[in-house]
Amino acid sequence: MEQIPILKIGPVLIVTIQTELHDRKAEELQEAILRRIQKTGASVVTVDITALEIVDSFIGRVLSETARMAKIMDTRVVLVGMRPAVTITLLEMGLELEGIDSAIDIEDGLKKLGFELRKIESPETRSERETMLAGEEAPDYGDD
Amino acid sequence: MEMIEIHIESDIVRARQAARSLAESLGFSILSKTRVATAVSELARNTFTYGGGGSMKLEKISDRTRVGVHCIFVDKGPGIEDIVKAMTPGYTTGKGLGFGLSGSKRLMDDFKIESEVGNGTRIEVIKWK
Ligand SMILES: Nc1ncnc2c1ncn2[C@@H]1O[C@H](COP(=O)(O)OP(=O)(O)OP(=O)(O)O)[C@@H](O)[C@H]1O
Ligand SMILES: [Mg+2]
Repeated sequence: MEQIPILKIGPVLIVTIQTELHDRKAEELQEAILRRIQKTGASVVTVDITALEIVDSFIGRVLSETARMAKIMDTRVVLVGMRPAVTITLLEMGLELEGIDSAIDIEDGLKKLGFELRKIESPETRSERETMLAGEEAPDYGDD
Repeated sequence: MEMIEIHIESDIVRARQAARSLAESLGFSILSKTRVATAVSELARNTFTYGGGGSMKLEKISDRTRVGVHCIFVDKGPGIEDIVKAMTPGYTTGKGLGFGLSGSKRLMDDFKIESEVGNGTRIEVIKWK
């Protein structure tokens, strides 16, 4: 069974679920995330669930439990990429994912937590971008 | 008609995928497909966890004006002593959240549950397109 990758970038752990999660795998993922938090002292974990076609009460429970345990270690868990149909279905079932923040994408998720993603630019692309943007207003990212 | 045996944990995934693809072939919306797959996941898990395994019968249903997905879950497990209690959101005898039965009832259009202590449980659900 293949592993779900957990990347570490600075204080952030990035988890991307790429396959259907059956129950045991969900529990293994929970263990793996908590172990990595313990080892790295990460302050944020983003869990990308774009690939999940459904979230049922089992996966929901595992996700909120993970968030709750992470919180004890002073780490926040942000769910990223929940499909609209999944969000609505959870609401209709009356299931609330307690203790979990959610965000549209990773960038949005990190921003909510006060992190900024900056692209690392080479001098060439930088000057190209600056020429391109010259005279234009700064993009508006909203006010949150 | 399709019979899906539910005896090992990965059968829960098989059951929900089969239901989803039937819904898909009938032209269900993304939202309704998700509702069906989620409800089936819950009910199949109960069959596996509490019913000691069993099966799901899956088929297309139609009446004069519409088509739908029809599932029947059967197990020969211990049965449910108090169905009203079991259907209450938040009630669990295991380590779950207790949202499986009440949640899948809300997601489907039709929900029928029969259970007899010592004789098992039968749950029949329908989702119309
Ligand atoms: N097939 C079954 N056979 C015997 N008992 C069942 C069966 N299905 C459900 N139950 C009983 O009904 C209770 C409620 O079921 P429900 O699916 O709503 O919650 P859960 O399975 O305990 O938790 P969750 O589904 O939220 O993970 C269960 O705890 C169990 O006691
Ligand atoms: Mg259940």
